[in-house]
Amino acid sequence: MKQYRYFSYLFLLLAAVLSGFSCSKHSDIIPENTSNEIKIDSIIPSARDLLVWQQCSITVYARGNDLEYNWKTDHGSMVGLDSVTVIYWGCPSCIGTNTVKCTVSNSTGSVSDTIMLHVRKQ
Amino acid sequence: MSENNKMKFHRKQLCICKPAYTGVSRLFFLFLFSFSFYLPSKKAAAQCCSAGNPSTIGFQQDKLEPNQLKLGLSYKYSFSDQYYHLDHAVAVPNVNFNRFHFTSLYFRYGIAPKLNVYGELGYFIDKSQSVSVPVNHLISGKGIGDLELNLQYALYQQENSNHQVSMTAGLKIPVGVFDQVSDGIVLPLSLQPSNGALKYNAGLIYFFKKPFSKWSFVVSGSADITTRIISRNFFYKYGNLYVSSVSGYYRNNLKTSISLQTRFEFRDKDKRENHIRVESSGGFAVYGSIKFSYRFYKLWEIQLQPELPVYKYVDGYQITNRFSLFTGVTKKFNKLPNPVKALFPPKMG
Repeated sequence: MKQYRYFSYLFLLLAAVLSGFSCSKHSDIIPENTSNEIKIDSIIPSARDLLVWQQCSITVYARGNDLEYNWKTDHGSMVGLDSVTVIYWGCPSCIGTNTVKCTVSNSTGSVSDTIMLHVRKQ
Repeated sequence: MSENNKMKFHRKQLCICKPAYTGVSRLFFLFLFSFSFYLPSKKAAAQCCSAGNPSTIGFQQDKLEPNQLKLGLSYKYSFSDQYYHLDHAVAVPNVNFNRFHFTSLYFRYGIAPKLNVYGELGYFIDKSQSVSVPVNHLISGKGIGDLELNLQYALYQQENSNHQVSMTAGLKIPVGVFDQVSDGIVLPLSLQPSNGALKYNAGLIYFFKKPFSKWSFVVSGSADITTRIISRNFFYKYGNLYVSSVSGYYRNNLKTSISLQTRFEFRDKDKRENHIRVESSGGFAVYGSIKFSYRFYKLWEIQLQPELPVYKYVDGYQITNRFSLFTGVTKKFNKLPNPVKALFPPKMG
């Protein structure tokens, strides 16, 4: 019978860990420290409708001092070309409408803007 | 030499040769049999290139007695450079290869005669993708992967240990690095060290060994059920993963053993936002591996296990694994105090 008791203790422990994970709140919205001293004029992609593997460059035009740039996409890959331009492409598992978000920041805070790119089959 | 002696000599020779011959052929036929059994199925997976810990298959099969502890350190290298469409390789632009150097800490503890707990914490020394955009360039991530915790319970066990059936259940907790940024760009999902999502797994293991035989066999099956990745950058759910394996072990003496394993992986399709199925995801793959183990100083063991894909079938276009190499060292500790007993001491009187 002892092993059943150990098993139940461990099961309870596992259940507690499990419920802790499933009950914890995960917010997708992170409050941004928005800066009034940074302005994104535009984010310009060289193409918005792409074939799989097709590359496009995306350039951000922003104003402010000592700016840093951070890029992210929900589907696809990017490589930095220079401080304000990245090259984007979508692999076959990225088919669909994808977002590219650029966050520009300095010591005063940050500002973000998003564009949509469509990747379709070759 | 008389006729009788000649016969005895021949019999002796046969007795010496037979086990070795039978051993090699058994391994060979086991390998062929298990491969041919699964070949007709058509679906494939690219297990090489998803977020989170890879499967470190080397340490999974052993079972400990109560109060025994086994600690291990492992290293796995994986290299993937072939894009597949269905069951054939295709050339693609932009991507040269994917690779990772992965290391993990492993433990297994015998809680009760039928119950073991085991787990693993992984760390990616390097997880990278080589791309040719705009010139050859390496996109790299590194950091802690996932924490895996499992229980193994012997459902059926013969006294002389001929047959044993165990069930396993556990979870993979994404404790490590996710949403990692490199050169101002958030890494693609496949290069993130942690899985980013909680995974549940359950499995069955059947172990068979003839008394006094140097042979043992293990057949196992498991399912990894994934949940949606919880992240501010990604909305994605990896497909569930189903793995089964057939292994034959031959222990040459107390120190060395060799085994052949065939592993089958089936992965469901991934889903992105609005429950859209990702067309280029999911599939089926068969891997073959050979494992060498060597015991030293009685309680230490070192393992080496190269693994090659034998057959791959992917839905759409996916990068697939070329080869991987696993090596690990373990140390067993006998008769440690039972933490459950220490926490809940039995009532006296």
